[in-house]
Amino acid sequence: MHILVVGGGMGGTILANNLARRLSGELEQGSSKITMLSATDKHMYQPGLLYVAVGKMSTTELYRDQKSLLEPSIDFHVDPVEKFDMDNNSVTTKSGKKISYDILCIATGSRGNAAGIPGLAENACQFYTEADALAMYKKLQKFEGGKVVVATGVPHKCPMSPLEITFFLVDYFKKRGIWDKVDLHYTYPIGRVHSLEPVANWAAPEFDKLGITYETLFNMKEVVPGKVISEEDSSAEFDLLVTVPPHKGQQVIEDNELGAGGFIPTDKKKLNMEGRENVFVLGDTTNLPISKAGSTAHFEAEALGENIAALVQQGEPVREYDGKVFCFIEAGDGKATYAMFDYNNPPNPQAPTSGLHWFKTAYNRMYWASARGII
Amino acid sequence: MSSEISVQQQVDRFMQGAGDALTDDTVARLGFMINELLIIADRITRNKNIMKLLEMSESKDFAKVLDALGNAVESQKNAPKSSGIGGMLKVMGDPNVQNSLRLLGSINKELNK
Ligand SMILES: Cc1cc2nc3c(=O)[nH]c(=O)nc-3n(C[C@H](O)[C@H](O)[C@H](O)COP(=O)(O)OP(=O)(O)OC[C@H]3O[C@@H](n4cnc5c(N)ncnc54)[C@H](O)[C@@H]3O)c2cc1C
Repeated sequence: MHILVVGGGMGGTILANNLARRLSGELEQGSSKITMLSATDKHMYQPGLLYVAVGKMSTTELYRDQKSLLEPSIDFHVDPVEKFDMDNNSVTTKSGKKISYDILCIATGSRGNAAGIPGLAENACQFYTEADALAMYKKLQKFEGGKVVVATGVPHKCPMSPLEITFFLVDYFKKRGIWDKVDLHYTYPIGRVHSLEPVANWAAPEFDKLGITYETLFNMKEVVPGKVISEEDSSAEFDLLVTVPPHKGQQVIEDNELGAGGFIPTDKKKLNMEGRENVFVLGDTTNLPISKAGSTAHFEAEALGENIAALVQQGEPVREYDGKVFCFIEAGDGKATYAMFDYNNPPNPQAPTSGLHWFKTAYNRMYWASARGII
Repeated sequence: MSSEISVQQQVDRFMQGAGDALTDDTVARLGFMINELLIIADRITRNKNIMKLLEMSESKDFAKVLDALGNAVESQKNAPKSSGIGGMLKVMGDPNVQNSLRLLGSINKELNK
């Protein structure tokens, strides 16, 4: 049985390691094989970018060699997939190799698409790539006060990052002693300050306490120097614009017409691609209406690991993904809280504490053990 | 009123103390160390060769190896310095060194099984 994992980010890595542990006997005997194809030999801890943007983490801490995170029994190649031929159970890679599979797992992630909103890339700071996070930090260092606007596109990965960057900006300006010279204005695309209602109910009073103003139902239409204009015909003037850009799936998913916007239609419980029993999708690549977050990819990978191993060993899956997501929320001032939810239970964030902030700080360095499937 | 401190008070005191003592940097370093330890522990427990070595370390033979190695190192520390092939041959002839090499050979054989 040949299992092919496409994508070596959070979801692909946790899934491949999980499978390698569960199927160690089959891999040793040679009756099963796991291959991973990815686009780079480095693995990035993407949540660290938020910290890089405000000078709380260095870029060197974000990377490890992908091979060092994988079980030795996984056959890993840096050779991105260019063509999916699902009718014949094969893919073609950039180097021209044709690789057949019995089971295919797609975890190619998503990418920011600031270019989708005219003027956004040119006029806003972002923190969704290493270069952008560093550029944002440099821009913040030169900022001496004025109007700061946070504007968010949809869909985007990491549902908590619009709130977290806002709270981190308050900390940053306070630390620099210029908070009293800053007007911080938060905008959000739907009719409350966060997509999850209980999180919005918690965050809005926190904003009030800090003197952060906010405007909801604000969908960016266009950005011109000094002004962001919304689809709803309102606008916000800024000296500094920070954006969580709208996201798309990967180019390869769009090019192969596997799903609109690069997101693959996926069964919410079985996680197979709709209409394909031997193709599974996880992480940011699914079109599921749940958070595009590392923890989503992690929980999906665990459910899929158990199911695919059961398929190999006994021909039937054994469990369903329940939609579980766990997101820390950095709330600034050395405190954090979290939101945990699934398909049936909404989150219920509590007052932030220092303990949760330390936990998140420690987790930022313990992620590598998590990617290896140890914690 | 009870003189015992409630669990909540103990937790509060602990958090207060930890808050005074810990900085983000300390927590980050602790997280880093825990990560590395977990990965090392995982590598050891999942590496069959290292597990064999650990099993052997509990055997009497292993104690003999360490003993013999210790003696060999000790006898060479006190031996007059000799260099070149002649000196090496002399060292190899030492019964302590020969014993150690034999036992090291058997460990190597075990690990490669
Ligand atoms: C600034 C920021 C903050 C975040 N904060 C959090 C947080 O606090 N908590 C949280 O849970 N999540 C957070 N996230 C989100 C989290 O990082 C992502 O949701 C998660 O990485 C998604 O995992 P994935 O496996 O789907 O995709 P990724 O981890 O992005 O991996 C995709 C992989 O696919 C590979 N790939 C791409 N194209 C191809 C191809 N053609 N062929 C083969 N391989 C390919 C890439 O090289 C990469 O290895 C944050 C993200 C960012 C950017």
